[in-house]
Amino acid sequence: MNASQLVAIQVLLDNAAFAALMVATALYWLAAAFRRVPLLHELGTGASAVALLSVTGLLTARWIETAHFPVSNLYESLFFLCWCVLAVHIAAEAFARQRLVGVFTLPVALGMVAFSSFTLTPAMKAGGPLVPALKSNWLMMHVSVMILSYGALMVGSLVAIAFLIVTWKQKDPELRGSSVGTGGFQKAEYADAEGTTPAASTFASLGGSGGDTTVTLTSSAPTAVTALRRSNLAETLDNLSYRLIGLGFPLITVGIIAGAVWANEAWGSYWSWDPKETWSLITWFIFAAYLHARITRGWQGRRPAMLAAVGFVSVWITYLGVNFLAQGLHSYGWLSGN
Amino acid sequence: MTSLWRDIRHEVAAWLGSLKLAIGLFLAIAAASIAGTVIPQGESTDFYRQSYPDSGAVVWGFVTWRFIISLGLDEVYRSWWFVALLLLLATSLTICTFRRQIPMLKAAQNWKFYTEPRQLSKYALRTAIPARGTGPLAEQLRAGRYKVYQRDDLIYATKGTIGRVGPIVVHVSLLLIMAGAMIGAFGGYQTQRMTLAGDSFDIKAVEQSRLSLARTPDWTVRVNKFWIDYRPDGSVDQFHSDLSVVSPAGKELTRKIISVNDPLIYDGVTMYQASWGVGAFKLRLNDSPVLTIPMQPIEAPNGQEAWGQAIPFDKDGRVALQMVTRGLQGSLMLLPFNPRTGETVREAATPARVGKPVNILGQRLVIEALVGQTGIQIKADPGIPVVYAGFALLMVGLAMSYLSHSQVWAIYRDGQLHLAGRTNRAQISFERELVRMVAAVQTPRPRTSDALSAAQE
Repeated sequence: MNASQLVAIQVLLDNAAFAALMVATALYWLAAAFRRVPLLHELGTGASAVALLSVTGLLTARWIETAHFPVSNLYESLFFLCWCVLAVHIAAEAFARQRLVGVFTLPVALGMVAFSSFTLTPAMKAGGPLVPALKSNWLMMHVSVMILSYGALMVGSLVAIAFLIVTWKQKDPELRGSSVGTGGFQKAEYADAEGTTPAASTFASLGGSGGDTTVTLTSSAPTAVTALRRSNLAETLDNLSYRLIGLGFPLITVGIIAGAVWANEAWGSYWSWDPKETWSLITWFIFAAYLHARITRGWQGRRPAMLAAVGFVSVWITYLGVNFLAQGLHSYGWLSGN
Repeated sequence: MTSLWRDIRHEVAAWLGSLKLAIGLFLAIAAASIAGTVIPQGESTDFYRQSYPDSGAVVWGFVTWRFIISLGLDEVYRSWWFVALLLLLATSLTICTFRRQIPMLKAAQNWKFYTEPRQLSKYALRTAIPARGTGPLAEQLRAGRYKVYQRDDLIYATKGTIGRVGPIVVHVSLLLIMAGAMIGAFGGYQTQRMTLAGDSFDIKAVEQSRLSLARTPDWTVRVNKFWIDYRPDGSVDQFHSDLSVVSPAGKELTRKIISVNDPLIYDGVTMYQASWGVGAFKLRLNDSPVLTIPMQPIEAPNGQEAWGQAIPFDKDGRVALQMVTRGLQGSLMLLPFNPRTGETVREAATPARVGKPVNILGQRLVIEALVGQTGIQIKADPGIPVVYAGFALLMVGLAMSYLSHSQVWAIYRDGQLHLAGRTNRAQISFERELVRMVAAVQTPRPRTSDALSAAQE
């Protein structure tokens, strides 16, 4: 295959991804609005899988064309981020068996593809050789892990936003999952030995808030309490967002470390308070606050999810905003040869 | 008095190790860092006076240059209060580890059997099922990689205890990174050198911070050669400097060709390829010997970077010749001009190539060579090994922290298996695991298995 064929394939797949994401978003919204209509949700998952495949193909074609991992300009990195969001979305949906996730994640993925397709100039879209500063094996290590972490953190905080919407009218839903084990107990009066007092239980009120995840195991045993009570919609969303952010946090840490080691090997300083690295640290601190808020008495309920929503904005500023905000190492203009 | 002092100490330690202080510090450091990315850092006072006037159009109504300078917002990350926040964070981390995390780890390892079914009622995830004993459940738990303890008709099973160790490792690693950064701040230095190919530089004078206790080496570095690889389209592919480290006695200690992303490391000092320039050109005019003339960076009319030098070109000083080049590829532009008026003699502008004689204004001129100038970034940081150890430990600790610590208790009594479980992180997966085990253990009964198959969907 020659270069012009590869470019043609990329254009085709770019359009295919956009169309598939539009269809998927519409299907997820319809599935949420008309719960009774069968297959809408399954088709939505199918369309997002088609979008994932298209983006995979596009990135592969670009990789073959430029002979380096395609994260060297905004167009390529947006598509890689979109790939990460879609992959995390499909994994999260399969894991949580929750159709609500796509209502929030798909529009974001669609927005990324729309932005890169319609607002970037052809020159900004074109692939090219790497500038000397980016010629390093660390490029793939640092940038791919960073963007993967953005994907996990974005989907995680979108699920947290979904949790905020689902629990809109509740005062203090109990959180399920934290590093000390909040939420494993039945009622507030049974404060556990570790000193964690879970907030008052609102299971009964949550039970009716939609979703079909509450499953009761009945048995004909004579004992009074026999049901293995499982998480309802809000609790599932909460735990899902906790696990996704719990995955994204180590990833962003590894990404920052890879960047620090690379900077030290290449420029002689592992930390230089460049705006982009500062913002990645800000995002890191916000999600660290989220993880700690979950184990803090008096910070239960909706507040950690609000921190996650702030984290969502912070991830976007780290990824995109900084490039418009200021110059730094990450503008790659420092050692330009032309 | 001593008991009051003990109380105060206890209170202060509790406050320093509290989660609320930790969260407050995270958000405070984040907010301060945001300020540092919004306000340009490290500029001159005049810059702030112009950009943030204290009368007229005051930024946001209160951000004046006096405000910025007095709060140290021009150098946020070096201001005393930012460093104080980081030190407070380190203190909080240390105290939290000893007062909170280690006792919690001990509590998690300190387990017991429950002997009465009602004791299980405090757990949210519990059930009672008809069964023939504890054996099948114990088998299921072992298959699920649980560590199972059995006594009579009682079971305690646990897995993922390492998930409780993870956060401690994370905290220790963060303390290591901060310690390494402090070692670097006290014992390291950084400097830059612009050097012509063929010349040498030393590292005796460096811009040390006030705190630096660093000692600089007595050896020198000779730049044997500097060159650039260009792509066919003229863009830069890579920069190379051939460096020799030379002892005071003149002996070559080591030699390496460095390029971007591939520095020379010697004696704890790292030398990076950081920038470049055209430092000089070698010229022969008619029958003159070869003259080496330095070049200066100039801005080309189209804004691109270029290097140039003007030389007088006739005896009366009526004509001068400006030599301009865009890089080391070997092409130049010779622009004669009138030094009194600055007016260019356009029709006499001549392109030239290195090594090729040209005739300009009746004189024969050869540019023998363009001499590159290499920009080397020099750094010594004795804190690096500590920081890297912290990085490695941090990744290990975070990976451990993703594991969920799960516990299961069971009591078999009168044909009923009462069981309860809890986990600290992976709630959904744990619920599924427990449902699967319960389904496998339960003695088959038509009604129950219907309900179970519904639950599996």
